[in-house]
Amino acid sequence: MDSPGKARKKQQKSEKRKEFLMLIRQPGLLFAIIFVFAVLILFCIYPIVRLFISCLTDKSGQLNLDNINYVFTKTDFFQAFWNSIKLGLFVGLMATIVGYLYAFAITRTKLPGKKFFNIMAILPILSPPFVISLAVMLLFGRSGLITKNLLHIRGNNIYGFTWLSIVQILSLFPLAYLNLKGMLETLDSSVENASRTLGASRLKVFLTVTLPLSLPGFLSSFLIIFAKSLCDFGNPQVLAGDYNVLSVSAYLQIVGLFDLKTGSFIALSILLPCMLAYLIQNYWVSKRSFITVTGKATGTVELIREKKIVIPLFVILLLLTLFTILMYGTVVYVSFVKTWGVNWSMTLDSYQFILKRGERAIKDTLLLSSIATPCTALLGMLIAFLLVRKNFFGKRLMSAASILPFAVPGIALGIGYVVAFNTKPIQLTGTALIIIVAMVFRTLSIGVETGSNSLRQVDPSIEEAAINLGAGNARTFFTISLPIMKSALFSGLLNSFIRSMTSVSAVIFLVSVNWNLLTVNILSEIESNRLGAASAYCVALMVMVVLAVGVLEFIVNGLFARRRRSYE
Amino acid sequence: MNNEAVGVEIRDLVKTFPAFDDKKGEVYAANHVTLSVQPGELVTLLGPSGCGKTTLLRMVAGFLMPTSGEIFIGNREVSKIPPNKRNVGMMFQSYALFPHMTVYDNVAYGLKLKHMGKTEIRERVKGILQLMQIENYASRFPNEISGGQQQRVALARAVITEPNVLLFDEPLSNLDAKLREYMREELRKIQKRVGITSLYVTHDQSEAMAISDKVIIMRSGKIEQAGTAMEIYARPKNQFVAGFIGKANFVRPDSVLSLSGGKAEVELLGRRMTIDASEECRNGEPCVVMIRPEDIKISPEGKFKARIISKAYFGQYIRHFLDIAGQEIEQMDFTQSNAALQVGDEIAVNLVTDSLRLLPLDDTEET
Repeated sequence: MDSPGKARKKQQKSEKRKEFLMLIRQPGLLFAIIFVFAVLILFCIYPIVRLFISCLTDKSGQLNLDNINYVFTKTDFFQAFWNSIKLGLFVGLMATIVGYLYAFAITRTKLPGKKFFNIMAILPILSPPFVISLAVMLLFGRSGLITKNLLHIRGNNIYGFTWLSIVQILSLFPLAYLNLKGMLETLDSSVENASRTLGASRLKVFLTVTLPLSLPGFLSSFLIIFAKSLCDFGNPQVLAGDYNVLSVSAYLQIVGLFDLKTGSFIALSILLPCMLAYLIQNYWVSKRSFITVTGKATGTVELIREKKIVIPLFVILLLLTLFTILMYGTVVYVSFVKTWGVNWSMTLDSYQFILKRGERAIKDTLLLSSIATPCTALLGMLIAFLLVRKNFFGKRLMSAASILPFAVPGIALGIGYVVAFNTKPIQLTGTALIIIVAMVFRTLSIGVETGSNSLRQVDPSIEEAAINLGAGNARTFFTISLPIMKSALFSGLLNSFIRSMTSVSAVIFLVSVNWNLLTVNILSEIESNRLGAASAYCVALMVMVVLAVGVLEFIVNGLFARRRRSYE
Repeated sequence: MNNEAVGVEIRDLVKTFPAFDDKKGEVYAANHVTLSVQPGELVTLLGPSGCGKTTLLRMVAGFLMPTSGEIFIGNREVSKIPPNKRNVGMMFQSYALFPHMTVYDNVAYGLKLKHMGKTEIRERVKGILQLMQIENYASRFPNEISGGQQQRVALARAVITEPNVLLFDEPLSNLDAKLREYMREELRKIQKRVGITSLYVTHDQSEAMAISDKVIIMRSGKIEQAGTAMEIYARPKNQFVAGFIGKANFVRPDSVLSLSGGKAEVELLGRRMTIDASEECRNGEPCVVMIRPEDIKISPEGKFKARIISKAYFGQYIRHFLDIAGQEIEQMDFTQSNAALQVGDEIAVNLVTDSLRLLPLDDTEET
């Protein structure tokens, strides 16, 4: 006789086997799962593994730690490491505070112009990463409009910690704002109301209720921005100067000294604190969150009207926004000026220049991003569908692998791709494919996330109804799930397109003579001090992004429009 | 429809889920269930929430995998066949209409999957929409029609592909009471007209009684009793079934004098009588007597003395709570001739002894 435990195990085993048999009878589903695993392993896990191996071995493939020894003793690695951490901590703290002020003002007070402020806060997320750096150079640099022409300061030095941290705070606080806004909106406001009815003053409510309840959100924003600052390559490359940070030094090791192993190791050393921050954020902070989504309306917050609170917040937001507008306005203006700081006459010279010199890069960027975007969106929705709706072995691995390239610093991913795909059997370096693949997997997790969120809100029986009527998994996905996920699909597409167009660090090692990208061109124009051309590139990039929004909306609406016909 | 109706047979079906509270235990959602549905019959699975009725339905549909056991649709064992190849229609509790398609496209979806010609699809869809009286809404979207109309669309969509079996997962629970009553008659009419074998899940006993050929009462993954509504109401096997279908008083007899052959001699409320007994009653084990409220008749010649504790007027009947020999017993009076009685009045009542029934005492708290 079997013991009950044994019998149960046997039963579960037979159930598992039956599930597997069922899976085999659905070849489409099985194929989809195998396909997703194959690409995830090849393009998400394998390059990172190869990056590790490359650091720890010599040319013959033997374990060899000389390389690490070299990095520790012969380079200024520790200085760069400490600099990066210091920058990350400072920027993380400041950007989160700014983001919190912003979010608090928008969600908790009667502030005029909320919609406008909201849009202006999101702008830096949508734009190429150097726009603010570039504007800082144009306004405050050696021949900057403000420093030289208005204040008559000669040779103002903007390179270093101060301006780098300002630029990073300006370009990263929107992430904290969005995160904290979502948190403040879902925070059960009845607690705040309760505290108010118990006689607490505004300040007391804020200090004793709102702030403690928003601490997890605060911490999670801090960790995200800390990681983003560490991973940032574009801004430090432009503004860091002598303030040596890891991402730039990894880049210089490879591009300047052709030392792939040292570069790999430095890139990996960014990866570890980044992943740590990401893991803490994901598994520790999110579990301590006080947000409760019950689907039940809990009453609205009584918005703060007191002038002594609203006016200072309004002024802060206004100054921030004006500063952002000044930055973008400068870049647009400069792109039309003959020679910045010397000849202020209006001209299209810069545009003629970039059309002549950068025509290929513009075309390549558009083409590669346009191929990568639908791939990202479809793959993302497919993975979301599998993760949310299907049961299979290795689901967690699939979820983790799809997030990996997003959590890994772009520079590490880029180097990983170079290491993994520059020799046979999979030789991809120099091709368009490797750039497309990098774009797809770098932004994949956004697609997965938006897809999963929207799928979770759809009653699963709608899909079951289709299956019940005889539709297979593929047909259900394409005729039911995907059209219902339309708006998620749209934002997934948009997000991945923008990120593909504006990515720098992940692709900078992957461009080649055959395939070049706009962002890489911008960087080299800045390095050559052709700021007019760089500005024109930035404007062109932003215009393309805006156009893309329109085109995408048109395509997605056209594809999945609710069609009404008469049936006579 | 032209399909020959087939039956459904479920043999020794088991489905377990791991228990939530302790890691070792597990919950039986289906505990060795065996049942059969004859071709063209409508069978209802009735039970409280959590009794496993929906799980059973989902296993027939193929959305859940049984732990062990067999499911036959016609002669085909289907438990390893994917849900989209079973040719089983289903109506969902939430209707699950495709929100991005019109009524017409919702109904036509299943036919398109069968690669049917356009003109034939049009004919068939028009026909079924007419049958359901929703032909005027063909070009509307689901969010533009009422709950009752959505209901009909869901039914039309489920039957148009001529499935072998139609499964209903509490399809009426989202409708308001009046519409629910109307729609259940409609459902039954259409089901009979189409002649399709159906399995219907509900927790509403009056719904079950109104539409079923056969009712199956479930509790904790087990079938408690199966039979026609009348059989189950009149001859429940145990206290759970008696309490779940209709109302009943359960009174401990003073003593059980004899018990054999489905009859028992008992002393009840101070009087000796012979009543029916459930086959589940065992000699020497505690029992109760089921007294339906309508089986207590107020009559001047009544053998039992009673006092009225409370009284409520419901239109079709008057409900009294009576004190009979120290027991509080619910009584329903449909005669309207005792309307003048007041709380506190001493009256006399008779019991319809043919309707009383001895049942084993159920000491579990579930209902």
